[in-house]
Amino acid sequence: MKNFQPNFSHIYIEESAKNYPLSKLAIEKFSKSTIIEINHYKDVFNRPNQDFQIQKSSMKLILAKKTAPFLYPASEMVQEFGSPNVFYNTPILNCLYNCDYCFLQGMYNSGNMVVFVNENDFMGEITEKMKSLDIIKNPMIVAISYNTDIMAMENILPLASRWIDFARNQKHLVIEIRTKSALFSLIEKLTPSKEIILSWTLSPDIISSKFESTSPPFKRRLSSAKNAVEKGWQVRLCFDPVILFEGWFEIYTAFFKEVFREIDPKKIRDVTVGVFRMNKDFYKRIKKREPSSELFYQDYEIKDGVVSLEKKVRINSLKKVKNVLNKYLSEDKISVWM
Amino acid sequence: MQCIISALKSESQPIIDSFGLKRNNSFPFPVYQNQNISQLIVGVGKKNVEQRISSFFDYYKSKNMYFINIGIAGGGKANSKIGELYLINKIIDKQTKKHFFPDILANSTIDEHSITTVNQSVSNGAGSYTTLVDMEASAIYQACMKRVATHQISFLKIVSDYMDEDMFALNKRMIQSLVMNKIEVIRTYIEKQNNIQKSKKSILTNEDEDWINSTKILLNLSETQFYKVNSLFKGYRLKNSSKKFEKNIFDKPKSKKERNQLFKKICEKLSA
Repeated sequence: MKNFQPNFSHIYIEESAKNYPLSKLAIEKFSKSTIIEINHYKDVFNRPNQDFQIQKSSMKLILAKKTAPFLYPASEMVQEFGSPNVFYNTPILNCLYNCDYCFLQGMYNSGNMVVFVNENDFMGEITEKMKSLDIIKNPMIVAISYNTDIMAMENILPLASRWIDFARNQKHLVIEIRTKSALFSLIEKLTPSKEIILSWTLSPDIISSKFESTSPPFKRRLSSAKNAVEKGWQVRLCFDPVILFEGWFEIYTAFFKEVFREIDPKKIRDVTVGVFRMNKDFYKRIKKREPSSELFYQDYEIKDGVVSLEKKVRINSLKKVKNVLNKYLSEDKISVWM
Repeated sequence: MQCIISALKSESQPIIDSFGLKRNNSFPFPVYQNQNISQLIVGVGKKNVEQRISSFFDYYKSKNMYFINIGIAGGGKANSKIGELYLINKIIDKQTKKHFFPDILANSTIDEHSITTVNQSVSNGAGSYTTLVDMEASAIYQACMKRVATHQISFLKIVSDYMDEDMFALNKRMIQSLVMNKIEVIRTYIEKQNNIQKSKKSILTNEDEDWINSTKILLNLSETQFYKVNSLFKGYRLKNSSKKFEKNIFDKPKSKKERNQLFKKICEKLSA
């Protein structure tokens, strides 16, 4: 007997969000869900004293209309190869997956998901911002899947494909869609575009099954990424976080070998690498709730508001990773968060 | 522990009888209990709610406490049925206009409804109310949410009347009968909530905690050292679910230096 209601058993909807096509689509998709009217998404999402992890066992969907700001300067923890015009936005708050190391569990009070249905306002803000930036030299880069996994939602709400359609019609705009999903098949019929980077986060099986248990397994993600590369998409591979444990180097070396046996390294745009790191306030908030992942009970150092491995350990291990990656990729294609 | 909150003795009597609860006279207000379930009576309206829940909670101080408000409510003819039990998914406080949303996590087939909490009873028909109507829910939610997580508060309401003149005919026996007729549904719901509570286990066993506490005393660990041992022990337990950590075999250190060396050794072993 199942103890929990299924995901999206309840849809909370703002009055102002009701008439948007995305709301109608969501309600149609989850026709058996209980619909509860709300004044503002924060009345549900920002309630104090919610248990993020227990809510993840029965996530609810909140449909809302976002008000400005629609665009934020990128966090320093996002690697973007030194480009100055980097931003992120939040078409969705929270993620369908629940990886152990994810900062979202420290960022949000709630395990539920908010979908902002006024996507045109997000897009309009980008075109407006582009007017004020020097984008000829440095195109504007927008990460649209920073606080979520937008591609993982594609079979529920086709947001990724709508963003792809938007981006391909802009000059000097690149959008990055970071994902762990295996749903590339849902967008594979779209014509590939240079303006869209599809970024797959990949981890060895042992890491993926232990710390990313709600995401598709490594091989399915790899297969999606491979498919995207073969169809001519700009693909970035994110080996982030690299998790250190006894025998990690051998496992990661074999893992890279497998990845680049499947995907021609010459055909990928670039890779990013980093170890586990987190804003210290998020980390503390998560730890206070006694998470059931061993990642939160290791020795870390806190520097400049970021919790991570001791600098020496971090640099040594990332150098080793970089050396292995250099066998497959040129220096300019590897970005490392040191 | 599960704590059922009701306004009236007649609402709680079927629960007291069905679960075999006994009066606990430690409280200056009616509390009935067995080992797992408590029934707390708060009276009609908001006025006693905060104080009684606060006294009860402070007595046990258990973050695992789960509150369920069970009681009768008025309903509208168009959208509710007398005698039917509803799980509340939205509470509107008529006075403050605030809205509250209890988490609905437990898998259940109970129909859901929203409820408006009013200060004065309504007897002139449901009128503009499309929700159920009661006099305590918003106060109970606010009192409980200060003390436990949002998923540890639920509301089950049985429609007793359509808020018209018939409501004056309601008597104790009728109210008891309304609750009694739904007692099995209530029992099943409580069990499901209990299973959800059980799904959240603490990482350390009692034995682990004893080890940490005795080490703290023996080595005279500082608060920072104690915090670190506690944290690393959780990591150890998650990696080794059933493996016992070695017994405390060290002697009481003779100096701070010796204590710090032992502390370092323990940390290394726990992180290995």
